[in-house]
Parts: sequence; C-alpha cells; structure tokens
Amino acid sequence: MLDSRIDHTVGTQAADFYRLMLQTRLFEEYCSRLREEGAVLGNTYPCLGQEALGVAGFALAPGDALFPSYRSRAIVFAKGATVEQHFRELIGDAGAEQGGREVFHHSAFPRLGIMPSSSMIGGWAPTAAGYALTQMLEHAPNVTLCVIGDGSFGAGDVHETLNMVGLWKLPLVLMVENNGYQVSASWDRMRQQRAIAPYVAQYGIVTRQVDGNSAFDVYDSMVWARAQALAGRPAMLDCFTYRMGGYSSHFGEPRTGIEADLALWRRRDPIGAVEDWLQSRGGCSGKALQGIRQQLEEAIDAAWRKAKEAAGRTNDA
Amino acid sequence: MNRLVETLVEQGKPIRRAKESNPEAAITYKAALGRALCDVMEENAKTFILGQDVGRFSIGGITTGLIDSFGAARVRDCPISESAMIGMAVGAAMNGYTVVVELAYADIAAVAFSSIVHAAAKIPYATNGQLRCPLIVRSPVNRFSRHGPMGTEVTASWFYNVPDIDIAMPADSHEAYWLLRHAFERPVPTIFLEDRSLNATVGVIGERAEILSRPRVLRPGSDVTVIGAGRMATLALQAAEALATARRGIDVRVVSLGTVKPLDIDTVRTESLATRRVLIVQEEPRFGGYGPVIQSILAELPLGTLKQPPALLARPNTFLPYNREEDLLPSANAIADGVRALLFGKDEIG
Repeated sequence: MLDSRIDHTVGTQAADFYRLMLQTRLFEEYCSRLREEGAVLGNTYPCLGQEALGVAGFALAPGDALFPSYRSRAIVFAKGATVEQHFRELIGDAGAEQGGREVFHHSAFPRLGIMPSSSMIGGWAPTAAGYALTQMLEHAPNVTLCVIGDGSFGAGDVHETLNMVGLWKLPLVLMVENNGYQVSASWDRMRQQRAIAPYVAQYGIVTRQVDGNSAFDVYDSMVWARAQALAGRPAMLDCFTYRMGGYSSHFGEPRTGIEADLALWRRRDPIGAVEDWLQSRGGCSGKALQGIRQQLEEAIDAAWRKAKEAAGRTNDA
Repeated sequence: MNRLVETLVEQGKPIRRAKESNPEAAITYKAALGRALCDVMEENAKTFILGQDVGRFSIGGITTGLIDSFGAARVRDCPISESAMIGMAVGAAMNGYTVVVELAYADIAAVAFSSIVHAAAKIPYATNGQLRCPLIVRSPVNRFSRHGPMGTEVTASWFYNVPDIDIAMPADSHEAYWLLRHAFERPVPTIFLEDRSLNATVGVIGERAEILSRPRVLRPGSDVTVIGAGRMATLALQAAEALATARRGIDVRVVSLGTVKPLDIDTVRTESLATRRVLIVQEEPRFGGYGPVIQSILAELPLGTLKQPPALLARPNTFLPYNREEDLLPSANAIADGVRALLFGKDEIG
C-alpha cells in the first residue's frame, strides 16, 4: 500500500501525518462522547476512516485557500485551526470566531485561509472557483483547494462550476472524499461509476485516482495536483476511502449489510498503515507511538476544558 | 440627450466617464447604467463582470464597449450557469472583489436562489462578519418584452424577507447611475432591478446625494403622497401631472424609493406626514414587497395621524401573460383614480 517512490520526501513527515490523523480520530471520538452525554448542542459528522485525506493540507502554502466539506476535520486541522477553536464552535460560544451563529462543521477561519462549508451540498464549489479566479487575476502563486464528498456529484452547482474551472483553467484543486456513500445510499444507486475522475476529466481537468487511506499517496498526489493547478491545469483527486462511522450523530448507522466492507476497510486503516511504517521503517518504537497517543489525548482533554472556560467567561461578560 | 454617449455605446466604443463629460447633459437610463459600470471599473481594479453575452456582443446593451476598455479578463462571458456565476462572485468577494453578475432578466434569479440567499447573504452572518460578500446581481426587468410568465417579473418581493440583502429599483437616469455606484459601496449583496422599459428615458445625473439610499421627492405636493419604486414612480409622476392640470386640481407629492431594501422608514414616514394621505404603488402582488411593509409601518402611527388608512395599489395575485400584460399592471390612470379615492372617496371615481 505504501508507495516507495515518495519515501525520501515524506519519510520525515510520517510522524506529522500520524499525529494529525490520530488527533483527528481522537477528536471525533471525543465529540461523539460529548454529544452522547448531552454536553454540546449540535450534531457531529465524523470523518472516521478518512483521516488520511487531511495530510493534503500539509501540501498547501499559507496563501492557498481551503474550502472544506463538512467532513474534513483533518484537513482543517492541517491548515492550522486548533482543537480548542473547534470545541468553542461546537459549544456555540459567542466569543468564538463564528460567534455561536454557525454549526461547527461549517466553521470558517479566514485568517488561516479556511473558508466556510455549507448545508447546500456542493454549494461551496462555485465559491471556491470564484476565489481561484481572483488568484488567477492577481497572478498569485497560490491555489484553492475545494473538498467535496462523492454525494456532491449529484449537485448541479458542482457541474456548472467544473465546466467553468476547466474552461478558464483556474488554479483550483478539487478533492473528492469518495467514500462511496450518500448518507445510507451506496454509490451504485446514485451513479453509474464509482470513480468521479472519468466524469470530471471531460471538463478539461487533470485527474488522479488516489488511495485515500494512504497518507503518503494523498500527500504526494496533492503536491502533484497543486503544481498542475499552478501551471494552468486545474486538477482533481479522486480519493477512494470508506466512512467507518455513521453519517452523523443524528441517528445510528444508516447502512445495512456493510459488515464485510467494514472488516475490509479496517484492515486498510490509514492510521494503522502509518503506524506500521513508523515502526518498520521509521525507527519508531511502540512505546513512542503510545506516548504520542497519550500526549494527544491529554491535549484534547485540556483543549475541551479551556474551551469550556472561555465560553464561561463569554457568558459572564 | 447626450447623443455622443449613446452613439459611442451603439458603436461599441468605450463609454466616457461622468467627470469627463458635462454633468448637466441629459443621458438615457441605459447609458447611465453603462457609465456607472465604466466609472467603477476604472476606479477599482478589484471589480469584474460575469454574464452571458456581456463581452464582444452585449445582449442587453449596457456593457457595450466595456471589454475594449477593461479586457476579457474583467468582462467575462459565461455559460448558462447562473448559480455558479453568483457563487463565484461570492468567492471573489471573500478575496476583496466586488463582482457584477448580469442576468439575462430578473426572473432567472430563481435558478440561483441558493447562491444568493445561502451563500451571498448568509455567509457574512454565519461567519460572524469574518467574511463580507458584496456583489451585484443586475436583474433587468423585462416587462413589455413579450416574454410571457417566465420573462417579465419584478422580483423584489422574492428577496424582500431575506435579511442582509439590498434591493434597488432605479426610476430614472440619476438613480440608475447613483444606485448602481452605491451597490459597489455596500457590504452586502444587491439585487439591482433595472427596468428595460425605462432604458430610453432621458434625464440628468445630478450631484451625489449625501445618503444615496434615501428616497427622493420627485415632485413636491400637499394633497396626497404617492410612493413607488422604479417604473411605478415614473407612472406616479405622470398621474401627478395629469391631476395637477385636471378640473379639480390636485397637488400630488411623488416619492421614488430607489432603494426599496433596506427601507428608509424615517423618510417614508416624513413624506407621508407631509400630506397625511398615502397611496403606495407596487407592480408585484400585494402579498410581499415594499407595498404591504410601508402600509404596516404607517398603520402603527397613532390613530388620526393620517386622514385615511394608507392605500396600496398592486397587481392582482397572478402572473403576467404573454398578451395584454399591461391590463394587469398599475397604470397612471389607476394611480390617479387611487389618489382621487383617497381625497373624495371611491364614489367619486367613475
């Protein structure tokens, strides 16, 4: 699964990949517990099993813009937003960036180049393209990364946008979290082919199918896609992955008959893969990895407490 | 009339800027819109136009010549993708740009409703002001063009109940120029309802008012205040002239709203109190829009403040047909009847 072509470029980053993915998973699990306990208002949209997609954020420059999907926690962390910031949004703290107005999975942090997502599925695709158009008009050395799920393929906005992106050769990278499901409906009930890339290629966009559970492939592909987009060839990464959890905390697992799929994809766990790499080729001991996990767990717990305190101060003020 | 500007527009030459031409010269409504676009694009490099047939060929004639002055990068012909065009304008706004999206006609906003409401209007709110999304949706009102029920609407009421959206309905060349310029200065999206039936009307672009969104008194008068926007204000003016010279001369005050949202409630109230009899004229049905809103505001005045309850003249609750659409729309005669009814009671109207 790991691609030896890129060992020399990413070897030193494997630990960062591991840290990001594990932080994301622990955060998602922490949020689900908060929701179950009734400690927070809103529902969460966990990206369990899709954490490797987040390392694409490490391939972005500070001036690049990110328009994430609502299931893109990992990449939003990679672009610089913190766990504490997320907790404050989840609480709905009036002193947080969105001021308690917006659900946390749509949160924007424009100072970090992180733009809002939307309840209108795929509706942020044209917005991302407009941002990319201004980058092109200014000859900026930057790209816009737009992340959508494969369910967004049904949205007219996405198709209208991709036609114009290809036509105008905008510096845009489209990343598809192709987890094969639209809530409960598997891809084969929603379109003819699972792969989105063949459809998108016709719009004049260069495409690559990516092992979305391999952090190394995701990173390498994003480096490639960014270079393509900057050279006037808008690019699309069709990242095959699997949603290892429910759609959201609104309801339990809506899919039936997925036990075999879950078992298969559990063996392809993106975090386990990097863990193996770190142990077998990165000279990292199991104890060291356990240390990272413990560190992250403590940091997330501390961030929650700080977010609660901050919200308390806002309420008192 | 400024024939030079008109001729240049027709020949596809760059439009002269207002400060280079005689400010007192008359100019058509259509040319005033083109001049506003030209002036803003020259002053602010972070503006561009998206639309269908806005470049080499200007289907509406407003953008004629702009591509020669500002290039194809800033005057961009688009596929039939209005939702994406407006969504792109929102994204551009996030990077400091103000984009004009030209719709072929106002009705088309329906296919882009989500981009206008959920993206342009709501993102500044949802992000707690971290992002601003000014943009201008030029929505030509196509009435009398024989386009039938899907190509003749005024769409102000569609957006009237959406917070954080401006709606402009210019009545003359002055308003066409200044309200379009005003839209570029606003932090919110503007639905700009320019009226094609007024394109050939001629007027003067006056000095910039201190507050561009303030309604204008087009005609002072002491008997009845008629309030309208866009073409309705021009019909009110015609009705007022006819009533002034009629046997029982009536002195009608005509107020042009220009900016129908946000509504300048103070000015509406002041101009209503000037005569204490109010007729509001609206081209859309009475179930939304500025008409019923002004009525409700005036209804909150203490009893006896107005001599009569404020009246509303609106189109019946129906769409506009291909043939004889004018039969359904408020006319200058109907406005005159409404004024007489306020003064003398309905029995006086034959």
